[in-house]
Amino acid sequence: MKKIKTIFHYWIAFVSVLAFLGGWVTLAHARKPVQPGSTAPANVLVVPTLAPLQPFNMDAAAGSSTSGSNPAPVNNNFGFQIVNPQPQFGFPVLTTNAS
Amino acid sequence: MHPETETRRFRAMNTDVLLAAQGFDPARLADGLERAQSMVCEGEARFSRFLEDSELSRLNRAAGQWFKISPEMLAVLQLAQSYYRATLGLFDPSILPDLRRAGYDRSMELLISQGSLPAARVEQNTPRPAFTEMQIDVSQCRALLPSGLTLDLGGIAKGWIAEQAAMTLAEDADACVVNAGGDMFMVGSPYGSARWPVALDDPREPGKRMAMLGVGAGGVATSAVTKRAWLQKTGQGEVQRHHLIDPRTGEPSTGEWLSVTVISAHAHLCEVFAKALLIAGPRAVERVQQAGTALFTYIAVDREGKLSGTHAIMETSYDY
Repeated sequence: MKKIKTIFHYWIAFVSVLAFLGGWVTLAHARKPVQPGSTAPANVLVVPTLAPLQPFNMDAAAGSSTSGSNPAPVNNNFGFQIVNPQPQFGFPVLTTNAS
Repeated sequence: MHPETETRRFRAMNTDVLLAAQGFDPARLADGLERAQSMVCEGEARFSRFLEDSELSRLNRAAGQWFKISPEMLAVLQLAQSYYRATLGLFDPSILPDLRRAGYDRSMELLISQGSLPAARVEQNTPRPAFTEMQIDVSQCRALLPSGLTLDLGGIAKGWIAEQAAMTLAEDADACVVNAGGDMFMVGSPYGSARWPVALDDPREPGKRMAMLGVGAGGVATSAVTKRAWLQKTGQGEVQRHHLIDPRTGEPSTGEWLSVTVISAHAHLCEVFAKALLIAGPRAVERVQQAGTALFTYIAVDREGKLSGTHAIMETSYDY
């Protein structure tokens, strides 16, 4: 009876150590949590927040754009192509200025 | 076998409205057109500032106290609040007193039919509450305009109505479009084509096409300073006026662009941002684009007829 008890104690000790090591390995290979202030990994979606509403000032806007290398934010060499209208089987032609 | 195409044209919201639907069941198309037209007319009766008994007129008159509003009005007012922020205040429905001061104190149909210059009704440009002071109680479906605040929801409502009507029409059609004076919403795609051809009008010469855009389902809207324009008598003589008020000055905008066309997923978004970009002009367009999270593409026409805008405009497509 004493021998069985000893074997049982050794068995519990062995399984406990094995479970501890298994948990250690699992945690070591798990994905790291994102810390506040750290750079988010590529698979975390960063949701942009809406900027607070400020008085709109055209001159300030122009000034901010001229601080960069491109003073005109709009592409003036817009590669626009005219599409040949296709027959629409009865649909009237839609225009951007109908009234 | 080709599908049938049914169209209907009528006048509403002070503009020409076109409904067009495609499908294989003419009876269903006719029903759909009928329901869509009713929806447009109901929308006009609710949102027009020129109808004394419209919900908007009653809301404006009730400024200073809570006013029970319809779910439709609630939806548009919430959108207006959201767009006000997204456009940094360039879209501002509270510029109605400035619009009246500029001469747009009666419907455009009346202005045109009179054939004479409207007498200037110079009102004092007095300080008034900001649009942000409007309160909405969603749980009880009511709104509170502070005293002195009046709203013009003409543009945003037109886009919203066009979109709602198109979605209704789509229940009975394979493909359809509602075009309310250039504010249009398309569902599906026309038979035999993946895209809807939309002619870009020359704002310097209405009726003349500058380009043909191929766009997918979704919204398209255009704002042009030459569209709703009139002459106003002032102390300095006759002055050219138009309906696009710059909220920063309270006067019709004097930007470099004559027109801006916006393509996006929603007709009301197109309508709002076309107006905001036109007012912002090329120097500030980037700031407006970066301020919000709205996705859209645009094309602008300047006084020389030069086109500028988003490269991706030709690839724009929204699925419904």
